[in-house]
Amino acid sequence: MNAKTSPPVGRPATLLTLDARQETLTNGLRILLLEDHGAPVVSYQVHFAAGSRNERPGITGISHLFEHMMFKGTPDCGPEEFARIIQAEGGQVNAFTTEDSTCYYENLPAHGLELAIRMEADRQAHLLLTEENLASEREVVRNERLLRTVNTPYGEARELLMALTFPRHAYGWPVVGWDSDLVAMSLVDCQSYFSTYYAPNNATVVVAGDMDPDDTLAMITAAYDNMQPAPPPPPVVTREEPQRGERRGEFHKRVEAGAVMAAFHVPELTHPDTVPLLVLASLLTDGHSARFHRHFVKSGRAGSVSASVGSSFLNTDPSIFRLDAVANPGESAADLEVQLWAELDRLQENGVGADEVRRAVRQIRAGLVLQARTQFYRGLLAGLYQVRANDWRFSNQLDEAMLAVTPEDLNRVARTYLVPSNRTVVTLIPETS
Amino acid sequence: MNILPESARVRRPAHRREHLDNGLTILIIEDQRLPAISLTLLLPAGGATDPPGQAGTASLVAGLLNKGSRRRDADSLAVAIDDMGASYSARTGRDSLVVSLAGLSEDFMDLIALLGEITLEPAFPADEFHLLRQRRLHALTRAMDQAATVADWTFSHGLYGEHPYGPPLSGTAASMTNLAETAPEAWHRRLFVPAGSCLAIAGAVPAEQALKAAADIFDSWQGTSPPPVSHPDPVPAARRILLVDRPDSPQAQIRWGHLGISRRDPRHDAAELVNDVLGGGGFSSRLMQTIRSEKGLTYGIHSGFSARLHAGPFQISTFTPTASVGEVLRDIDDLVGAFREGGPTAMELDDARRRLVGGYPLQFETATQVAGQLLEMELYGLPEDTLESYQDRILAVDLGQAADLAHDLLHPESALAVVVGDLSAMGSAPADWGTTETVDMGLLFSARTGSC
Repeated sequence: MNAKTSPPVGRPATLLTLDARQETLTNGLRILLLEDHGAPVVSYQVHFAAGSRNERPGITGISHLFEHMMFKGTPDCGPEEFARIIQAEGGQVNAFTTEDSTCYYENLPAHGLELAIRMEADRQAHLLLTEENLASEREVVRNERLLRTVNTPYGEARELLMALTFPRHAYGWPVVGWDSDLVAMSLVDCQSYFSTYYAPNNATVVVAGDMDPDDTLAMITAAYDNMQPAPPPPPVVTREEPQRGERRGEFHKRVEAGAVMAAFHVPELTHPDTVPLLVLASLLTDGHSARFHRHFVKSGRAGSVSASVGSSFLNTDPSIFRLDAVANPGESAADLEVQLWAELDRLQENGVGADEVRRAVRQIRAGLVLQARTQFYRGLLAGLYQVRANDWRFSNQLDEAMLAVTPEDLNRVARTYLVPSNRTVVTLIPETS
Repeated sequence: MNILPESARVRRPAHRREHLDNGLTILIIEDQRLPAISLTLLLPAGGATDPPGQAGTASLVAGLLNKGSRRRDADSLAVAIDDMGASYSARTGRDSLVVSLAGLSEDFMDLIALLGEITLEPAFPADEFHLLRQRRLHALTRAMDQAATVADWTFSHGLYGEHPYGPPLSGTAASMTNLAETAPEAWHRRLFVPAGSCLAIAGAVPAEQALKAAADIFDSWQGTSPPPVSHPDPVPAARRILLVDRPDSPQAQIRWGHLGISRRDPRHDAAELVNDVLGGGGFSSRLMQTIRSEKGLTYGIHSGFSARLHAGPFQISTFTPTASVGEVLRDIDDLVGAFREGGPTAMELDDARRRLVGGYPLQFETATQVAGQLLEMELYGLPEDTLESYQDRILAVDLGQAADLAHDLLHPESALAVVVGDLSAMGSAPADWGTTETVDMGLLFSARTGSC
């Protein structure tokens, strides 16, 4: 990391250290076992290194649509039976797709673990893909897109922001995909996606909670050992060129309040600047003492302000620092934007204070401990970072790096990345009837 | 078949339950697994205590608690919380106000002192009152952009009318505008009392230390509960549908329901079991199977009884493309009607029993979850063994009882439906709904004037 001129302001010891046993089957399946007998509960997760970053124009959204298809049955398990059987064992079952990975999980009473292993392996090996299932699930997903994106005040403006920020890279389209691509997607596309990305050598299995690691490994081996590896999926080679000048867009919509959304290019999660950027985002808007919360929200200058880095659990490829602000009804988003940049200029000129850095670090670290009380979350930390950073220990490394972060680190990343030539801005403009 | 194996029985950490002389109940759940602690103070008074015309008072009180104490201003309190990296929240329900502070266990003594300061010594400064009220008014206007919120609020208002469960918890533009600067402090003085309240401490602090600290800080809390105000349940009305216009919206939000039962009703847990088959059981429920999995008309549909002190709503929530509104409403009527007449099948009931009984231990995974379960018992005055006996009671519900419950608790004949969508694209209102009424939400709930 960079030379520092003041001592670290974090806390002296790590708060949460994940410990996992790591195994790999001969077919390439990675297995992470996080033993914890605190409660008779276990989280079983399968993480595939496949998300919207692996897509191309024409089939955007296939990773997410495919996630839905995984619930449509196998020769041994009828359509929608997967969820019914797991739930009848008292389990929670679901899945989620992101830019970088797709995760299927079951959180169950400990005695249900073998069932989850057997059923996840069954659908990974023997999924039935039919025209009929694709037809109904396509409509479910189009409905999900309407719910989360179109029928919300900010969803479509956010899509525009990402499209302008990433004209080349796959992060420019939404995980749910473009509606026209969802309509056009074929069963052949799904079959090809399945055989390319759902091989054991592209998957990481995580088991967290009340289990015996030896027994669990034996059960997983029995269920997955017959699966054949596939050629490694094609690498994602597209890179954004450095941005040389502000990009702007407008989205007009029938809404009560305008908004301004900005994205600044920042590096991938394993880059040393990720931690200072995370702390900077927290310092700006997390908690009622945060700078931007006090200046904009508490004072009534804006409805809300939030800063963040990448997606939840960060991103495999270079991503963004996001700054979103919602204007008060009847007030101008353009005026709010002027005030945002004025505050950002002030921060870059005067620098951040050691106190607020210490506070932000403490908030992130304490927040992690509070979330890591469930086996599900601990499993996610290990599995998602195994896929995205190629190392399940990455959350431990983040925690250690937090301890070393200094105000100078934050000042440097703020002056490096949060500059006008590196930003894309979309304004949501209320349309009157 | 209906005997619970020991391995599936819920196993929760032991807790201590003590009372202070002032009537405050203290629950301690010690859990040394991670260096974390959460403090939760539950007050058995929420939005339902808002005086007529002053909806949102309790919610505003909750929002003002951390905006200045007798010792410090809002900014100093915010710094004190954030210095510890703690998470603070104050939330209002219909029947409760809950203040939570969670952080690292090494900060326990500071956290509990801070919780005492925020809850027992709020100053309700006038400038903070005006700032927060203005933010709330803006938020009410912005809420009109969220179709799901508009649908929920219209449904509550339609079902409960002037009953305290009717208006939005955060109030309306009219009630907020009319609220006197002194109202929050008056509410706090009258209703923020130890009797009936409960403090839960869950996490990595020795029980003795937690108990002593709680007593030291909360012993001085004084006040007696005002006599309870009774609110007769609204009289069930005839079937009707409320339509809210949202031009250009490609998807409509739908609510369908009627009055349900109180959380204290002895049938509550069995009612949840029966509802699980109809629309509570995730992907496996009848509503999900037909409307999502077979027809692809929605991404999600859910039904449920809301747990409240008085009869809460039974509510089905979903959304669908504008053109499918009529079909979805007909499907809901058909599915609820058939379920009311026939009840669940043996296999459906068996699955639902296994789902609820098997999944029960998952609700006790962390000490904070255990505290949440115990606090619910305190709030509704339910005996503590309600939690222990839950699995056996669910297993004991047989087909005949389930069918009777479905018949007794579901009432399509008095259902209220709400549709929030593009009315011009929807065409005529669905047939066989007695009364159709178009509502302008903006005029009802927000500060907006004029029609859309």
